[in-house]
Amino acid sequence: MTDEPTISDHVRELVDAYLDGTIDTTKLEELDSVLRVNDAVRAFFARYALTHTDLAMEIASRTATERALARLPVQVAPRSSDRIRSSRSVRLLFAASLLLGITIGGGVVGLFAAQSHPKPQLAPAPRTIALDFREKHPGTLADQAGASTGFTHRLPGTGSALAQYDTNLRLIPEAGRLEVTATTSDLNTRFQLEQAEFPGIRLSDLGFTGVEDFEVTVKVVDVPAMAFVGQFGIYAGVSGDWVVRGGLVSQRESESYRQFVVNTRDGRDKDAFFIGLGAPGDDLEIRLSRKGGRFSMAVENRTSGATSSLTNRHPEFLDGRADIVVGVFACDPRGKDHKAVRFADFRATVWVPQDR
Amino acid sequence: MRDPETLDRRTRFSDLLLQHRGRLFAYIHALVRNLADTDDVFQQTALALWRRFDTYDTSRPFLNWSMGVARYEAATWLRTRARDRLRFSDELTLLMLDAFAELPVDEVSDRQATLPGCVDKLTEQDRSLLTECYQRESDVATVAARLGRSARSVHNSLKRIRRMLFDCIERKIAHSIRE
Repeated sequence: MTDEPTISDHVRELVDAYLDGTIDTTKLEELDSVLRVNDAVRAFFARYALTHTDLAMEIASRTATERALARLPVQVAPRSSDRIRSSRSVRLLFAASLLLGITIGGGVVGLFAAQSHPKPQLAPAPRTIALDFREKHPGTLADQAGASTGFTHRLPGTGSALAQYDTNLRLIPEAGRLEVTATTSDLNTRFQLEQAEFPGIRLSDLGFTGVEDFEVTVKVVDVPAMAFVGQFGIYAGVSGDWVVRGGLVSQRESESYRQFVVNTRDGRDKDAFFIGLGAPGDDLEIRLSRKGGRFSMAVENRTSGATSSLTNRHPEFLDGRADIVVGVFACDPRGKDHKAVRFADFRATVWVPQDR
Repeated sequence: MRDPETLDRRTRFSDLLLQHRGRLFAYIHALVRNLADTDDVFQQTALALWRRFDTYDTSRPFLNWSMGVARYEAATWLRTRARDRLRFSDELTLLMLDAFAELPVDEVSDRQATLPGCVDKLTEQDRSLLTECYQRESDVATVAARLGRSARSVHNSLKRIRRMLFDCIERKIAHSIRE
């Protein structure tokens, strides 16, 4: 243990990049020169690298142990004395249940009677649209090269000025990504909605009638740096005026995001809720669901390992509406250098009664 | 207590290597950065040390002598087997030798003993990522492709986890010293 000197974040970043092999020649030369002239940084490096080595050994031993334990027989045959003890135990339990039955006889009979005629109750069955962006879906919204993305609709009231071959969309099948370049637009105050990017699908295409539970998830890979209030994520709504949406919104501080969920009521953002932090380079999974009539949103930051649940005022304006569209969005109302948001694995599920 | 004069050469060598293996292994790992490769270089270093053990000046610290040999073996290995791998300058590897040699042996063993408890505090997701990266010895880009993530994000996750573990170890060791 040392009285560790202050090591700058930049030097720590160089050390981490060196240890996991992502360092480039220029940064290695920089790290090399820092380490050559600074004893304290070398001492820090030695301890940090020691943790790296110990970690490699620790993980190897843990994995080997798990593998060894997994090979052990699942059940050991009971010894004869155990079998005798078990059968005695069963007999004792049986006798005890008889005594109990005599004591509360009517209740026991009633219980058995109820169990012998269970009412058939089928759980709603999930119907899912899954877009992994690895294949084209003819007849759906086309990207800049004419490749069909899989999204069938746009949020009504948005995107009316976008080209048929949408220059803001780029399907990358080999990577399983759909890049959506943010545009100068925002649902709040209906700002340039004609060029707002809100591609999606209709829940009614999955049998949704307005009352069923549903869930929408999407992954976002390598979050880009956006200007203040630049935002992206997923939404559910009936028009640009009536929507619940959430994801990440860029902050005033450079390269800083907050997770958010907000209702747009009659063209104005209301009931906003913010939590957690994010940063460019993060990978996320965003989930918006309505279960038992209650909306909830969760953002799992796959980079930081943190998961946040976001709840805000219930968007009652969506209750009973059968015409809900769900999808992804990217807006950058104040930015000049619009960035592409990389979406992957979009899924929308509706739980529909099995007798329908 | 054993009298060194009565121990045979092999036993003396084994004792010294066992006593210093932690820092020697960590030094090699810091130079070649791959566990399987570190094992190879460690084996070659041990053989080279054994061959030269008759010339070892017992007035000098064994650890510094063995690291000097390891430095040469690692440089040779990197030059012939991993030409594309970026590596430190010769001047720095020499300076680094002292930095590793100066780690107190008790601290090295304390750190090793403390680490498992810190790993237990990680989330299942973080432990799973460590297994992907450390056990399979995959580079960050390969792991990222396997998990459907970006290389930058995996690098950032690894950085965060390593720092958490490093800080956890520092705290626990500081706490035990205060006690």
